[in-house]
Amino acid sequence: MSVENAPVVDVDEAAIPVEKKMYYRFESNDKKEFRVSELAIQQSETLNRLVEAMGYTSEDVENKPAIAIENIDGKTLKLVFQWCEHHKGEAIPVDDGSVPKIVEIPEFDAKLMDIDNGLLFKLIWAADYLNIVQLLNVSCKKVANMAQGKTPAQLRRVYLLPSDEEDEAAKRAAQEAQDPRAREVEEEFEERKRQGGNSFF
Amino acid sequence: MRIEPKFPLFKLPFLCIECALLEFHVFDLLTFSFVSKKCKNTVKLVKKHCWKKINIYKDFNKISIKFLQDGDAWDCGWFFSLNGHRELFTRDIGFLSVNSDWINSKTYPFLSEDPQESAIRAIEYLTNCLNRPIYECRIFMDNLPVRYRDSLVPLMIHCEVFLLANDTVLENDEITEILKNLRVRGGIIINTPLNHNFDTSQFKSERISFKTIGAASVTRSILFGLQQNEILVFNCIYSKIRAEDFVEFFDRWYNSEDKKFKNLLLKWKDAREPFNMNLLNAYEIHKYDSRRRAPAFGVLQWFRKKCEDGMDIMRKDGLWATILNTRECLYFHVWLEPFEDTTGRKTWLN
Repeated sequence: MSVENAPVVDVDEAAIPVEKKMYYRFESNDKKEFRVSELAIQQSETLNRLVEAMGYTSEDVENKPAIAIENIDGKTLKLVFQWCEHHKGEAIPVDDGSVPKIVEIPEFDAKLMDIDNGLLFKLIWAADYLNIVQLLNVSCKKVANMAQGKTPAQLRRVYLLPSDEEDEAAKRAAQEAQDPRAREVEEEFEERKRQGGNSFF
Repeated sequence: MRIEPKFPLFKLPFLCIECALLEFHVFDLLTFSFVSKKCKNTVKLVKKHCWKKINIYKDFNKISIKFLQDGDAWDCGWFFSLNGHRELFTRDIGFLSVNSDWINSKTYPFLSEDPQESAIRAIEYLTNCLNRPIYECRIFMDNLPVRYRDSLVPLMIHCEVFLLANDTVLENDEITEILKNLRVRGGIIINTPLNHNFDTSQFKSERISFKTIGAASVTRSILFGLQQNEILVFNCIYSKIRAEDFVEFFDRWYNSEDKKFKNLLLKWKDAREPFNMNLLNAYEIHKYDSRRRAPAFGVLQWFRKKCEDGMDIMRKDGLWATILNTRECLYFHVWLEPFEDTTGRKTWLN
């Protein structure tokens, strides 16, 4: 996608100080490109550190290739940057455990997260990867709200939680999938132990 | 047909799972822990629940377990009926009005034929799963069915505050039975009359408070038998304990090498005679000096008592104490920490 055609995500020009008016270009793993204001980027600790380390000038931003975000697709990244633009300039919550965390989902965020659970999953994953604290909080709050008033059986269905038996079966399967040679060595070792051998080697 | 949303929670990184679980209501969190061993272990790994503590109250018809966030207000809880119903009820002020009844809960696996056994299993599960301390344990003995009076011990688990209440005098043996397994980290609150011959050395805690009914039975011998470092007696009776007893208690400290005692407060229920200053003639009394000590001292963990008009007395080892005489109370405070930080605490008005 060309620079000119890259989507600019809802930008409130008036809210951006003149000296900070720089837009970075990012590319998702499916080659979708986004232009995001410097102030919005500050919501993501990961991206903020990245652009600081790059030390791009305004010309660099336009002339150099877009910064690739390998692990996130365009659909998810669009939501992430929409969220960052809407909340740009807001204080980033610090969770030091000193005060109870009370998370409420603002109207904008609720609308933004009116998506299927597959996309919500990717959004949480992206918020964690990009270290966007408040986006992680509100998206996790949405996940927590799914549990309200449910019975254990309902929770199992909602969160696709395996039963103890299924966990055991998965564990056994993982053991069986071990390297066959390692299993042979293990069995030989057990056999020698049974025969009372002093040394395996 | 409505399709339930499906969300693969355990496919998220642990940090995200933890973040989501922190947002669960405590009831939902516990329900989640009942799903499987893995779910329970995951809940145990979550360290920063806003649920700070658990209170247990036992009174004439129920055992209540209350979940508390910061502050004293409780938000929700369970109760186990002692009236023979095999039921567990839940209450959540967040969802129901304050006056509404508790609602029957159907999903909890602790229920047995004996409600007390159910409650004990629930408490064990909670402390283990949520990894939160039992803060306060209150036993109201009045009208408690006899079979539950005899089997209180299992509830006497490690707690911060323990309250024992009863309107009439309990047998010494009955209190002894309760106290023998008690492990109180903080304070014991007594709101039941004590026999005059009760052995008060059985109270094992840092501090002890006697509330109205309990305070009315506090005599000189009971006061002198206490071994706590903080003793608060609210509404004692002047015919049983007098200002002279207070001064003698101070004198015992003054002639001792005790380096732990901190506070004695005696508040009288009935009008007492004005404090006779001659009682302190044996001591060299100093006025407040801001270089020597703070203008207020701490009472319990939450209060501060202003004492700039208190009388300061130095023991031979250099430890300072203040005696404060107010309209209703006599205070004796030892300055183990001369400049204890009491900012942010409520001012004690008595």
